[in-house]
Amino acid sequence: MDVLSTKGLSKVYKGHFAVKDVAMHIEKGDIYGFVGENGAGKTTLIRLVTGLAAPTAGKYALFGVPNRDKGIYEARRKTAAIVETATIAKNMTAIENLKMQCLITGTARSDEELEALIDRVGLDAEGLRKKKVGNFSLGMRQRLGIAMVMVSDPEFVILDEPMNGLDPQGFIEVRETILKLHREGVTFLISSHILSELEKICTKIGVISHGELLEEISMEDLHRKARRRIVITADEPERIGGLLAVAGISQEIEQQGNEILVFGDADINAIMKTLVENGVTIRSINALEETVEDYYIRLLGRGKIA
Amino acid sequence: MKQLLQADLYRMVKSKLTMVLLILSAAFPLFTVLIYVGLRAISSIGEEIMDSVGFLTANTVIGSAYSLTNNIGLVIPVMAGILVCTDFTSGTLRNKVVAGNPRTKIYFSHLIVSILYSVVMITIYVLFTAGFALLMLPYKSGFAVNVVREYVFWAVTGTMSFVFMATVSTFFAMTFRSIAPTILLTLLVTFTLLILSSTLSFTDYSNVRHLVYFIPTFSGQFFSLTGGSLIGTAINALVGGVSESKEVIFAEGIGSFVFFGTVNTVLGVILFCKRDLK
Repeated sequence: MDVLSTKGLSKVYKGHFAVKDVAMHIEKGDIYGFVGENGAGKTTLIRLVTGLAAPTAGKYALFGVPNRDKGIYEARRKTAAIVETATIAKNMTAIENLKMQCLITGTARSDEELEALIDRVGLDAEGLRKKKVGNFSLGMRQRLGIAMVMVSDPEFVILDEPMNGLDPQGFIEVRETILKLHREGVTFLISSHILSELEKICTKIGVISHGELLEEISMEDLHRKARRRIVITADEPERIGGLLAVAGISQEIEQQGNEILVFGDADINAIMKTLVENGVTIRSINALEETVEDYYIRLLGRGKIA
Repeated sequence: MKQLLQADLYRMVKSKLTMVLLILSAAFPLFTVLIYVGLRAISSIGEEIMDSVGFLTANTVIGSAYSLTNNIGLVIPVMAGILVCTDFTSGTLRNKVVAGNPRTKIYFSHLIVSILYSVVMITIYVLFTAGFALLMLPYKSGFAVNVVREYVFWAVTGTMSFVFMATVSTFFAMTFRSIAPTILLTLLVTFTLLILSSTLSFTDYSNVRHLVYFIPTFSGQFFSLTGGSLIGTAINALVGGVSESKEVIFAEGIGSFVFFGTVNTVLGVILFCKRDLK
């Protein structure tokens, strides 16, 4: 069962699509990276699925419960989110904010448990006992926000740009916290405009640009797509795999329509020679090599053209 | 709902506004009574005359304690509105929505806390006012024919006017989600109602009196604890001079608070449920 699925989800602001016809699927156990440039529609989509805004068209389901169903409130109880910035009362201390979050979510936690939670996100509970959150740095607030998210032991956590404002150490700590919670069975949706932030932790990514979801792909497939490959366009593409195998060019081969993709370090000249000798008409043949980041940029470029 | 109420009460207790208003609720009565004491001291009218006509007495100070245009009367609804607004300005309202709390319950939780805040604060103010006034100013009992009824009508009408204003300020806070319009519009409603009530008091409204009694805050003018005194008689004569029983005026006044409070709450809930939140 999908933890979150959307179908044709759209949001229009002042005649302009902030999110357009998005169909995304997050399965239990995913760390779903939601990537797109600033203003691509990431936060809008998060605001839709968290109930902060209503869709103009389309629908979504949380834990299988449709958004128009009364059970959606119960499904939301299994969800926690930080949208844009951690929402904390600045006139309260860290532990007072956590206590209020406990009340909001109906969670019972002792002071000791809350202090342990503060320590767990890299804040010093003892040292911050009397300090109002208004005096916290941005990074400290982000960490407290994550602690607030964790208060209710959610099954699904949505983090909108969680690395914003964090120093490298904070970045690592948040990443490790996410991975630790993931090992405990928490599913994540994490948005960012920087793919490299997510590359190391995500199991799946969705690339959004100008409100449209361009691609939803597992990290495994993304790495495979992004690595070096030779792309052949030829007549009778179905023969190519067999011919290359017989010729000993036993690389990983995949057919995508009229294109044949040969992954790995295959010699382009050897491929051409084999195909020509066997009477295959080659329309084009190119060796491509790109990083995941290159692939992402190319994808975004495609989105812009679209 | 229970947990939302607990969260909003927790936020209210932790708010500086609560402490500020508590201090004001205790300080303003002393300030007001001291002014009365000072005025009595410098007044050329003899004390006996003042006491006999009910001028500058404990009764007049206590009787006007629930007025929406006295110092604290203006402050309480505004502070209640600001308290609701801080849930938006700090963004903590998002946490409630994301945690699966229906918006209707979020609205009602704010409304209940806002009403509680207003009632507690005005009660403290009235008690302090009564305490200081009875200590420092003369009180003449027996002004009213039915003292208990007068006090009940005065206290209930006065408290209900603050309950009503809490619904108004909550409506503005939940609709505009910003402090400035909430303050301005709450004050605008207060002054509009009071100007309307005062103006109508000096006109012949006997043919449409039941409509007039249905203006929120109008009935409050009849319950000022001055009945029976010269001033009270004069006020009652001025306030239309109608020979309506006080029970009817009281019932229609309470009815107007309930009716208009319900109307703005229903409208507020509808608007809040439809709006996208930041």
